[in-house]
Amino acid sequence: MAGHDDSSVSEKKSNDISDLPTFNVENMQSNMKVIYYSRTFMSIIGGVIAGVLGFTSLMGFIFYFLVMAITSVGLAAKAGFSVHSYFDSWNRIILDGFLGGLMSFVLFWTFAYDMVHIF
Amino acid sequence: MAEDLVLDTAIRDWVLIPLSVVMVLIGVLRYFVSKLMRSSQTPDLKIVKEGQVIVRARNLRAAANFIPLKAFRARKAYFTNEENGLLHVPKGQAASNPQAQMFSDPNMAMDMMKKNLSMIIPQTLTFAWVNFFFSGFVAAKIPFPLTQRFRSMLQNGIDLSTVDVSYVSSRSWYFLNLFGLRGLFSLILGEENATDDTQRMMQMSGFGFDPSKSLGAEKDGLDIIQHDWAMPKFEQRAEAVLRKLSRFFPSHSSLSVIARNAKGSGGEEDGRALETVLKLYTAIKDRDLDVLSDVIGEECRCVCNFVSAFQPWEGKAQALVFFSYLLRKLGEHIDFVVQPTFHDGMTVGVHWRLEWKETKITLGEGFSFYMCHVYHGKVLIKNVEMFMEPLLHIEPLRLVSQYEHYITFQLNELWN
Repeated sequence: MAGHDDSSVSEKKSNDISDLPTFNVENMQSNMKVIYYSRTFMSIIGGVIAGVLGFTSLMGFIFYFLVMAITSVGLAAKAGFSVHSYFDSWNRIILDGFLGGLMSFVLFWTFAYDMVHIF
Repeated sequence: MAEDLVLDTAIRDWVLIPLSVVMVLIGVLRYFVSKLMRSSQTPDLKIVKEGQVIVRARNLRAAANFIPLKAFRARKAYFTNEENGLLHVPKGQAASNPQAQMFSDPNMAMDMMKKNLSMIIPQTLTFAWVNFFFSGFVAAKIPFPLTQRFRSMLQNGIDLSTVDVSYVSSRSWYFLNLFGLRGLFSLILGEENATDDTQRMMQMSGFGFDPSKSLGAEKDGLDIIQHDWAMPKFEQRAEAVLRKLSRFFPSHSSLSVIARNAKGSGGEEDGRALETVLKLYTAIKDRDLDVLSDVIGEECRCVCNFVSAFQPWEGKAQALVFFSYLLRKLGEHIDFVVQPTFHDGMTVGVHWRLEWKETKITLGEGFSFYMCHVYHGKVLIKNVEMFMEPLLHIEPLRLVSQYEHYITFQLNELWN
């Protein structure tokens, strides 16, 4: 059911270190999915936290970027910092899906903020 | 304008939460309904065939560098050949395929309609419901400020113009939910969720054109590709990998003396005999014939069972000859790993293994007896008996048997 599984980043076969790394497509897609799920989950949690703590406007968005950065670091650590054996570039881990979680973050931020502060 | 409005808690209970819950439930419902309704489509054989051809061509393109040039050319010709290549679409057919298929095929049209409906209807219904029930009051406060221009969008039912733009009506809460719950749905519904309408619409528009245009695209792609055979570089890569591996196994010296296995009564002489034998093996490891001759006594007698001549070598010279041939045969990569098992007085027993230096694969095992004596204050080896375990039946270890034959041959030559 829930495909959200934070804890599995599968290894890809890279057949040539030096010139053309060829990657196993399915594994790469599965890795991307893991990143996506992780980011979505973290943005939801981050939104709730921001709302509860009462962040407003700029502080809230800064908090969002902070949460995304933490997620990136966490993903990099999960990949053992040898990013190239799991993804084809650093950008995947760091930038991908950055703004995708923004809407979820704002929704849950608004929700929690209202629940707690303007109840 | 800066003060916080105090909003009735009833709004929370009866507006925000129910709206969110309803939207989540509708999303789940839509997912299951679309799953149920989708199952009735039987795929068209021709389309499936073309799809598979495209996949094969794509794989060929991706892995082109792993097959030799001729094989690649042959496969490429198979695909792009003018007469009967699989990817070659005669001009006449090309244009008419996509549109005709889309509209003349009743199944597909029905499918598209169903999918559209399943997306649009719940949204419309929910929106109407929100407007009817939840209009005319402030529903929520968004935590960040927006400019005045958003006022008309967000505060639709509220007719006061002095209220802060942050206080929004329930319509905007509906839209916020609509976008924000996409992420949540992807988490709880697994990979395939039908609620992401924008993605769906993109897929819809792309689908009809797939068959023939992409054939042409694949053909062009194959024509363009430059073949660069990666195989010759693989040896270097394999070398690099093996080097890395060997770094991880700490290179123990081939004379790891495991003292606890050596039984025997103590005494300094034992130590010296053992030391001499180990010196012998160090010399073998270092391929050092001088040190070798230092430890072998003048009347040294050598017997080994892996040389089929079975003649013992008498005297230092012959022993040295034997050892030097052994060293030459061992070459650069094979080493003795020695484990003294027994020493008593001047007798030392040693269990040895032949190993391939880099990867520590055992090539052969055996056992040697050494008897030493003291001569002019130095301890020298006077008797050597080597026994090697029969390994000829193990295929990879035939390596050693080659050496055996060679040694035999050479030594025979020497004596006759």
